[in-house]
Amino acid sequence: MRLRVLLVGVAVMALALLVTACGGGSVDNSTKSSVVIGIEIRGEAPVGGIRQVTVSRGDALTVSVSGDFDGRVHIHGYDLFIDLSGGSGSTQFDALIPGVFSIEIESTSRQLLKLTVS
Amino acid sequence: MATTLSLSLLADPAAAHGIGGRTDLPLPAWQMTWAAGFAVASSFVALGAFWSKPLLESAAKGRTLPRWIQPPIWLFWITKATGVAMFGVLMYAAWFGNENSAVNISGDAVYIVFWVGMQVVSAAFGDVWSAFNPFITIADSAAWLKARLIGERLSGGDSQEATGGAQSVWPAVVAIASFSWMELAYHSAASPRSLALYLSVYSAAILGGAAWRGKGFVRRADGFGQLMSIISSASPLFREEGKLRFRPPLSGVSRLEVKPGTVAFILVVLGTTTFDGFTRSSTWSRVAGSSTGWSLTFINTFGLAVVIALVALVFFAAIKSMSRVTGESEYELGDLFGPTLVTIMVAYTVAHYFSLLVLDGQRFIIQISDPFGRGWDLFGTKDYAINWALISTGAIAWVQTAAIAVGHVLAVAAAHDRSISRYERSVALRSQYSMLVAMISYTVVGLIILLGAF
Repeated sequence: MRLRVLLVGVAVMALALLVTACGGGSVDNSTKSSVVIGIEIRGEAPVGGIRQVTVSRGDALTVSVSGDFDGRVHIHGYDLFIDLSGGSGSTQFDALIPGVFSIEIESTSRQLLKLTVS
Repeated sequence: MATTLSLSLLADPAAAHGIGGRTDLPLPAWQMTWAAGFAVASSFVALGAFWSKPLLESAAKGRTLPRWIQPPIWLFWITKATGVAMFGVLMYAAWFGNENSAVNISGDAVYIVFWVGMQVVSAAFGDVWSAFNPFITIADSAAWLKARLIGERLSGGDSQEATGGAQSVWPAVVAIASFSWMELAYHSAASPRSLALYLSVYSAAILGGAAWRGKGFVRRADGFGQLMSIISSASPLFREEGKLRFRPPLSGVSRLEVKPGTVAFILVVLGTTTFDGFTRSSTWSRVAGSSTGWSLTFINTFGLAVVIALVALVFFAAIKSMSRVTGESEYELGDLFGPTLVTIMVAYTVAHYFSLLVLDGQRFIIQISDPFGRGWDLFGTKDYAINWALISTGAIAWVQTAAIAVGHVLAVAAAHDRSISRYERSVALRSQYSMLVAMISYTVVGLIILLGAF
């Protein structure tokens, strides 16, 4: 008896969850835009701290690095690299992989920016 | 423009924690609220509406599966040989393969395919790992060989077993904690050589211990084997007296053999996953984001220890309050209710690592053709392109939410069943209040971490 009450309760909640889910995570493909993300490095650290940048899936990104650091910057997940010369460098790519990615100085794993592609 | 999505395999893809460069999007707030509400509501429904006579223990006996499904003996020879062979390839790759972890199979093999994949397999299909576990095979073979050479009789387990003492699994707690440290605290977790050194020390400790104390030592000191065995208690498939049997999922938790250290083991694994989730928060970025190298290792070690301690504290507080209701000792109650956390432990693993397994796990397909990173193409999968859209972010979020919610309900059910099998109904209900608070805490904290809003 009690088990039946419980099962009905669970079923109702599961149904409610499913119904709400349909309104949930659709992807908007209409607003693809170009985004430039600037990172300034001084003393092997990002100026202004580790920023969080959110872009939409499909956006055309330009990650542009400037400052006083010469070395390699790694965009994790996408596994792209920016080799800096004279403290600057950039790369362009389409944000096709959704998720949260860390952009770091490759040699020390020092985090520079947190990129969210949603 | 030339760099667009070209997967450059030149450098280390390891993030600050574990492996893989991608982490999941934060869970939408409404979804998190739903799951949390579901967990709390179902917990209280459980108090009043769940069964009043214990069900799980009798159901856990299960029934023997028909003969045509029974795995033949020779299959175990194959799995054992495969386990040892794979371990050999892994160790060779880690010690002598390409030093770049993106093209060396060792990191992904250990942290994704084995650590995450085998946990999922164990929950679904039982203790499959015990058939592959190379440590058991090596120790058993060595014992057999020794008996043949010296002509001595083959003794069963280790010396502790022989003296009839309780078989403590504390060595396995140390082993699994060391792996947690390696994966989440050490700053160079994915580097093949670091992993090689770690696995060599691990193997030496386990097999050395077996040489000293007897082959039974492996079963209580190998953290991986212990973990898969504990998780498999929730699985519908199990083996008894050499026969494959079926039982309702979850019921086996009621028959999980609790040894000294088993509860600590579960709490360490739960705390480890919680810490891994926490390292993805911006709060943690502020704390550890500017650290590198050994100072990062130090901060991580501290954070890992604190989170495990907090997770354990919540459990002990619940047990302490329960002991006031039932009048039993905390130790007894801890052993009684510790195993009910198994499904929450599995739920945490699924919620945190599902996407890692399904998305980053695809790298394994490429690496299997070239395990040492030497430019081989053994199986023609060298040029496989990882499909990052294999599952949508929405689907990932749903798997996470569902895992946490289901894991919670099952844990509550297991605890309920334990309490009514031991106490009369009114005491059973009152004894469960504190346990419910602990489980709701774990679940809500797990969800807040997935929400990533701090």
